Amino acid sequence: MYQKNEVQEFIKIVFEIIDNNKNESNPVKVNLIKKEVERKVKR
Amino acid sequence: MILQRLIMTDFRQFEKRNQIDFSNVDNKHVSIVIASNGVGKTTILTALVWCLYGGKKLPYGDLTEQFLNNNTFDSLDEGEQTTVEVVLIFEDRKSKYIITRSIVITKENSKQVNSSVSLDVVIDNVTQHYAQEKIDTILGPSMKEYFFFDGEGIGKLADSSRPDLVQKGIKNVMKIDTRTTAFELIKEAKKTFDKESAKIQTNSGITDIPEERIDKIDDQLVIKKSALEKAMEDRDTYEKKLSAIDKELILIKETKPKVEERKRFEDELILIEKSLITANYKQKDLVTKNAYLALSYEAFSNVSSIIAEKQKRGELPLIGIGKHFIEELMKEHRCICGEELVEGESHYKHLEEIMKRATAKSELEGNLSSLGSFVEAHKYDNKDFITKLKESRQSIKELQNKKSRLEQDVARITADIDKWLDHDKEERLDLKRTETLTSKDDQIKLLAQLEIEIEILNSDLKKAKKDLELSQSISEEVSLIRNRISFCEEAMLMLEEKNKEEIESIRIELSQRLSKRFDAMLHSEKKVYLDESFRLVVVGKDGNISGKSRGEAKLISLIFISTLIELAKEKEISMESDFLSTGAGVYPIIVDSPYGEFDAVYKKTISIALKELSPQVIILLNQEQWNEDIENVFSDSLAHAYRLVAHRPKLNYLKGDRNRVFFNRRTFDLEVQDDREFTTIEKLEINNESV
Repeated sequence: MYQKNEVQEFIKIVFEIIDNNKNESNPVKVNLIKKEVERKVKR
Repeated sequence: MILQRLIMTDFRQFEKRNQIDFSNVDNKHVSIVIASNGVGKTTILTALVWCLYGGKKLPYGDLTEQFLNNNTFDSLDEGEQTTVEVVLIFEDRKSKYIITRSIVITKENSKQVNSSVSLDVVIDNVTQHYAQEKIDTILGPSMKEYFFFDGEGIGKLADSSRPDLVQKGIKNVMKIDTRTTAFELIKEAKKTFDKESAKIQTNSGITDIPEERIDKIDDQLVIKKSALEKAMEDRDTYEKKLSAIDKELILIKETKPKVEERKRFEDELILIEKSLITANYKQKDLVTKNAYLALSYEAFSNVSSIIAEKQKRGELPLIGIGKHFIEELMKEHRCICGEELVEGESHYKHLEEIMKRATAKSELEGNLSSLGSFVEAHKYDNKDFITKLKESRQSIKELQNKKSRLEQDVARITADIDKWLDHDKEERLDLKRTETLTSKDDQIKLLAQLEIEIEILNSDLKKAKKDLELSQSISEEVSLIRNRISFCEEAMLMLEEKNKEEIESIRIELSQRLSKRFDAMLHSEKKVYLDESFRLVVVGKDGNISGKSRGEAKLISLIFISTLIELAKEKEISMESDFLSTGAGVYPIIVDSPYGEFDAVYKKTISIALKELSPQVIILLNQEQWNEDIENVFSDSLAHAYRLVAHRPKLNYLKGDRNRVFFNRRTFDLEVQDDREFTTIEKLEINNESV
């Protein structure tokens, strides 16, 4: 289980990714989100 | 999104450049366009929709055949091209958008031939690469039906069979779709993690638990090594057995020639025995021939003294010396003569006769004396006899020794032969040897097999240990990916819950506001609410769901939209405070012919509803729908007013009168006579004080 605020923060970033990459294809956005998950959940 | 200006160039009825402003002025947000039917109201709606979304088949007008204004078309030469263009300028979240959609038209065989459509989107003076996507982000195609209404279409939201439209509207307007998009994108990201995890595990080729495999191999190694040790011991044992058997077989082999040897020895023994007999015979002959003489010669004095002694003890018979006496002498070894001496030889007999005749001592003495004479007379050579006798005895002794040795040899060889040349001993040993050799070979084979197995197990063990290392690093990797997957799942769950929660709370809020507005506008006993299935429901005073008139449906739809937009606006303001808010939009409502055939009261009520619909309302209506009451309703919120003037060769009369509109206490023509047919847009002055 992750801290609620961590997940909330992540979702906010996802919104930003969606907002800032409106012109990009879904795979590009998915990749950015994936990178964000990787940044959040580290070894 | 607040529309500011629409510029149409040669778009259908609108010849050359025609511009219409919608921008809000002094907090006034309503724009109206008044025109006779068929003059261009719907074309304006079509121009807006086409500019934003393109396409040919539009909900409010078919553009497949005609884009270009007829007069402009007529002015073209055959094969000449021109461009039809619609420009929409609007503001969204403090950015200025200029959307330009144009189409090149060629005159071919007196027909309009459409070719390339182009779209330019400029945001804050920057031309955008993904033009359509930019527009769709603000007001996607799915939103068309909520903001661009034709007169008849308004009521469809209140259709009980279309709760999907209501729900979709809520999601779209409240931008819950953004959250759904986020959900879908995170879901996709999660899928990539799922794939990564599966790929890592597949690529590693490890399908089991290496620790368990190592334990298993270790156990097998212990078993195999112990089997190997036992096999080695067994092999050594068999080797020892084999060596013992071989030794025995060698002995047997070595013993075989001994049979011959024994035979030789036996033959030799026979010869020796024969020789011995001969030697004995010769000695006997020698002795018998010489014994008496020897006796006489050698033992004379001796015999005399013995005789005397015996006589003294009374042991000697006074008459004669018998065979017995001689024998006794020989026994006592006082005489060199052997027993052969006494066997009935003539010399002995002669002596015996002498003895017999000696009946008295003197006689005996006399006999003895004559014996001496006898020996003398025979010229007996004692030395020669003794030598010969010694030689004979030596020879016999040697023969006897030899015989004895041979007998011993024969006995020894016989013992060996008896021991080793047991008739099936060799056979048994051979069999045993074969068996032992087979067993030994089996053990050697087993050893080789075990060594290979151990080698394989050691190599397996090595691999298992490597796999263990790999799996440990993989398991760290996989566990990390799993954590990421579960992080995605939590985010998805949070979004889903938030969506559900929000849609439900929006529904409840919408329902309450709808009900209040409906009450405030109609002062009816009927109540309106949005039920759990997202149906806009009208309930009579008896509490039962009642049907909706067309007017009610239109009004309820408008109230629903306005309430929804009001909520969206509030949400946009409050989004900063809510972490999951995706920001709802502010949208203009453009309604074409909203009033239909309704009575004055309804018209007024709908006008009030329309006014409150959205932060920007654009109403397109004909002069019959416009009246002073409605003008009064809009007076405090009217930002722009236009009339469309139809230019035509022959004027139409409506109810016997020219097409005119009464606005701001003045009358304006809606058609003018002209050689050509086209429409112009004329601004109507708004005098706020006087309206």
